[in-house]
Amino acid sequence: MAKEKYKKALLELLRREGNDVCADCDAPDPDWASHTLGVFICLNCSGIHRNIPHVSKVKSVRLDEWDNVQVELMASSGNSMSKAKYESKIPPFYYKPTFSDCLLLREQWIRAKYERKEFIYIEKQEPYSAGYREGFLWKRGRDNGQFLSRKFVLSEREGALKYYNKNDAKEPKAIMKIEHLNATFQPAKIGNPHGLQITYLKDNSTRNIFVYHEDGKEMVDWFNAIRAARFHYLQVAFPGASDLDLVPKLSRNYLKEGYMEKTGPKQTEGFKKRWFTMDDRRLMYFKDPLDAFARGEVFIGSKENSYKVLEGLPPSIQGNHWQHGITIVTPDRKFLFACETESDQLEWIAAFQKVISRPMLPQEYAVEAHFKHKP
Amino acid sequence: MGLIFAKLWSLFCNQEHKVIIVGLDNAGKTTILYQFLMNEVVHTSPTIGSNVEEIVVKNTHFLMWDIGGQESLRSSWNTYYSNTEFIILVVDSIDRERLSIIKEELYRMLAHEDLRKAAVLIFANKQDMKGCMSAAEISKYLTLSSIKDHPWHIQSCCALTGEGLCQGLEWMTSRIGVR
Repeated sequence: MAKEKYKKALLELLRREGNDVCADCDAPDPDWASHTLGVFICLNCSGIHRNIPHVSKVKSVRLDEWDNVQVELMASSGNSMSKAKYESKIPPFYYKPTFSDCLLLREQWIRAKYERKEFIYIEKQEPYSAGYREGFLWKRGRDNGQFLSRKFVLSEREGALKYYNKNDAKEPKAIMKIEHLNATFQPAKIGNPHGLQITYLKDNSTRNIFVYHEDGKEMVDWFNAIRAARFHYLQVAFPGASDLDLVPKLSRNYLKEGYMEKTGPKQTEGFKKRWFTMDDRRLMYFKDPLDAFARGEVFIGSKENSYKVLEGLPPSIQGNHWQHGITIVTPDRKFLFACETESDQLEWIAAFQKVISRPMLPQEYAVEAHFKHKP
Repeated sequence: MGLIFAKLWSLFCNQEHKVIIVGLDNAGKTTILYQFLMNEVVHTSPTIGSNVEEIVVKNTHFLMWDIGGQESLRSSWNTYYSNTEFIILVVDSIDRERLSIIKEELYRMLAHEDLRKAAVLIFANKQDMKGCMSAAEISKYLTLSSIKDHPWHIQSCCALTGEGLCQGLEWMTSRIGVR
């Protein structure tokens, strides 16, 4: 029967190189397809594609009926060919999301590729590649938690991202140096599907600001504009480095975030629940996940410098706390944490191990020294 | 005696009414279900299998089954039919090409023994799209006026904004009084 023949042909196509992972997010074993674009995609990405019906129509390889014309198109196209076309001119700094990234990034990536064709026509990249960007973002107030519209200006020439409290203000409320800037999407924590966390260093402490834009494209354009600015800054700072070396440094997602309990330096204080963020070698804790500044920041070095992570707490520790302890040994003191569940504990230990087992770079020694000289 | 009556009455009122939400893939079934539940637009992927939620409208409890619409899933719709009081058929009003398939599926359902007593609510969804068919056009194409053995109602709506959904639910609650 024709039906069976088509299904067999499609399953055969799925085994071709390039078709074995989702064309948009790299998830393994896709079994959906856009029969207008000729790409094999995963179930999640098919959910995004079907919202752009004038560009993409999706079908399941296994659950839908296909006709000859559609199967032919899939055979003559496929993921590798589609990439050569729709991803031919991606700027090196542009963030290509994968299946573990938030919906906003994945959706805008798919729209940028196929709907706006941004990586075929370079002039469409201007919003994030021009080296200058200004506009309004909703920014969460530091003290009252209300989101208010604020003007933001990103200027590569000035090496900074600035924002203004009033439209006609001459002086910016904050100047964030591109050198220390980071941006990471945090929709769940911020409570907005487009929520972006921007961090910078203020007197060597991490300052958090939380912003969003109602329009998904605008928000992702801001994110990529920040990455572009960081890219161009790093190209100047590290002239010999290749794109491949610089791209992972443009923005960082956190190694892990979540609640743990901690005790104080005497280790006799009661355990208190705090929100922890592991940002590379910086472990920060907050009373509220959306606090502007951390209550404390701890530098986590490497095992060569006698940093260690141990499962459990010292036997002498008394008091009420969550059951799953972690001890961090630094040259100065021990930090004692407690996790609510075992899986949480294991994830935190894995995050700590990751940085501790990595030898320190010369710049990181400088960062460590800053921590030691903090008042 | 009064107490017993009150108990029986509350039992009757809190009785759950089984609803199935059907339609072709990408018609908007899951989006409608979660608009009913939360008044919010959720991002959806194609439904493999089904979603089920309890929706309460003015003391009336509906147990709504949202069933995947992909070609090969349609043959398993009948496993959800028993005790169904309402069929919500969601139509993508922009998808003219497949209206004939919807017609086929609709009349196949209406002929099914288990759905003999079910009422049919047809949502003409995606009314916000340019060039979409009106509820009247869809009604005419599906020859709804020829349906004599099932109560039916067609309602235009836009699941993304929620427009028209309440009117659909109201028709359903009004039908319960009739029984």
